[in-house]
Amino acid sequence: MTILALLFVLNPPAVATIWLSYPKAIGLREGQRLLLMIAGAAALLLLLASLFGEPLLDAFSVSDSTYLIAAGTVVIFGALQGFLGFGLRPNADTLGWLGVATLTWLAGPPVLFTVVALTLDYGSLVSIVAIVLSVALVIGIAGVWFFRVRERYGMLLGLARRIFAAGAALAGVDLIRQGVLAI
Amino acid sequence: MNHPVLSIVAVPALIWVAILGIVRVVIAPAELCADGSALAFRSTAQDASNWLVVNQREDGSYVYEYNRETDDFPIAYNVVRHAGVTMSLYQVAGRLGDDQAFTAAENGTAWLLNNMVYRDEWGGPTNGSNVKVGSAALMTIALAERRLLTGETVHDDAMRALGEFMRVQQKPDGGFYTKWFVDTESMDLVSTSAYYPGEALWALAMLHEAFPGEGWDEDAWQTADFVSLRRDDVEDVPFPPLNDHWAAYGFAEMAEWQLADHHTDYARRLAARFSLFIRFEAQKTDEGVNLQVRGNSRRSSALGTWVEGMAALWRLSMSDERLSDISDEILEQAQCGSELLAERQLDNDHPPLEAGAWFIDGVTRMDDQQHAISGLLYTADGLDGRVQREPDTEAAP
Repeated sequence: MTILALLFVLNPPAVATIWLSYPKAIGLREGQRLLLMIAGAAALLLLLASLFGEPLLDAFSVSDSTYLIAAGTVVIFGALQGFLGFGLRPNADTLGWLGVATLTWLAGPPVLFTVVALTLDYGSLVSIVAIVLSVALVIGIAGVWFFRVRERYGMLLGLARRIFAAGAALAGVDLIRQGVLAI
Repeated sequence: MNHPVLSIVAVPALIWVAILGIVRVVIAPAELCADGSALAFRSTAQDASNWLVVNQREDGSYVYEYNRETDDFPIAYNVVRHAGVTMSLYQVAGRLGDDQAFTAAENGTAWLLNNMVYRDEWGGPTNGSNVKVGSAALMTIALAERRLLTGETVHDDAMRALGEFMRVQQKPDGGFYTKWFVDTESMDLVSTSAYYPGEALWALAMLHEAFPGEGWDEDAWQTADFVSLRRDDVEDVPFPPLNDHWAAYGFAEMAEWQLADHHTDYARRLAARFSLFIRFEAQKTDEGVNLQVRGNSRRSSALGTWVEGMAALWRLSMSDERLSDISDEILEQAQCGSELLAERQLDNDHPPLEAGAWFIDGVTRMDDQQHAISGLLYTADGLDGRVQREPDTEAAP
């Protein structure tokens, strides 16, 4: 369930929405380079979260079980953000900020918290594999939407984003449930 | 705020900082769990036991409650708690080899025996107006504890009479009527008790261990099913399972009886509930914002029961493979709770009515000491890897 939570929290349609905010500012080659840069940076941040999440919990004197409740709460806030579309259409006109906005989404607190929860459940190795696959999937889905679909199905994109956000909310509730039932 | 950096990064970042700050304060404050040792926990239990010994009255009853701020002893007593305190003193005698605790337990037992009423084959201790299942159950456990410690059979008839009382009070669904009215010679058919079934479960299991072949196990199984499957519904427990440490003792006692899956599932959920409560308690600092969010520390008769429950479930998890995956976590939480108890106990520099006791709002009650003692003793055993709950026979004073 935590692996599924990662995909919900990453919310590919939300990432696509960010890119679609700049349809004229980005070209194909430039877009590809940007995708790689964002994917690499996000994966690096998530990898660090996976490796140092548990020591951080110790440093903050938070048990794994309590952490899951906290993570679930953060994910629910993230889901709210995804549902409302908050932060998805930044008012900027330079390409660089597109990267920043996407990165903030891909490696924002809900995702980082989910990654650490994933590590607690399955260990770093599984977590890292899940991170790589999830980020690749997100970039793939968002990329397809950007390069192939563009704005033709804008309403559909908004609906998909909200469906993913609802999934994230459920995943957050499940994390809280896991935390309450954990020892 | 018009600069793109502010709108894209700073504003969301500020909002997230606020959210994470709230989560830290409200959901996940630091859990203050030090690593206490078995030696330290036994010492804490010994000091608590000394409070019970020093503050026992001549007739064998104990100081029920003491308010250190008003130097007042409220006029109240509770037979169920008297039996529980007596049980804990036998446990101290058995695990720490304490002669004074044994003598005090003997005096407490004499008080119970003097207050027994008998009808037909059953009997139970009374407060004058009724006999409660809880009193009979905890008295049974106290006597069984004494039997294990001394090897003496002098109270076997009393144990059987108490057991028969529980049988008489048991309902067809495995639950229990709560009490027998002495004056009207009638059973209370109305009231229910959330904890009596758990107490009876452990008592019936102990009876079977003492007198195998007499059928006490059948009553225990019936009770076990009631506790694990129906009790929370009957009692309208809002967030099940009820934090029933007595049930944990009972199932731990029955660990070698081949428990059913629904029993071990219940034990797992019970461990989670105790863990949640202990973690929550460990987050309390009793000051500032934390006090507003988390409230005051709970009295040791509450915290102690959670530790008791975890220590019992640890023993069960060590004997039942279906729970072996959570053994370490259970013991870790029991240790955390025990450490909280040790930190909150008043030390021996205090007067006899205070030293070794736990006070909340200036008040201590005898079961504050009882539950802490049992929890500390069995957590210490867990840290030593001692799965056996019974005292060593050579420990008999």
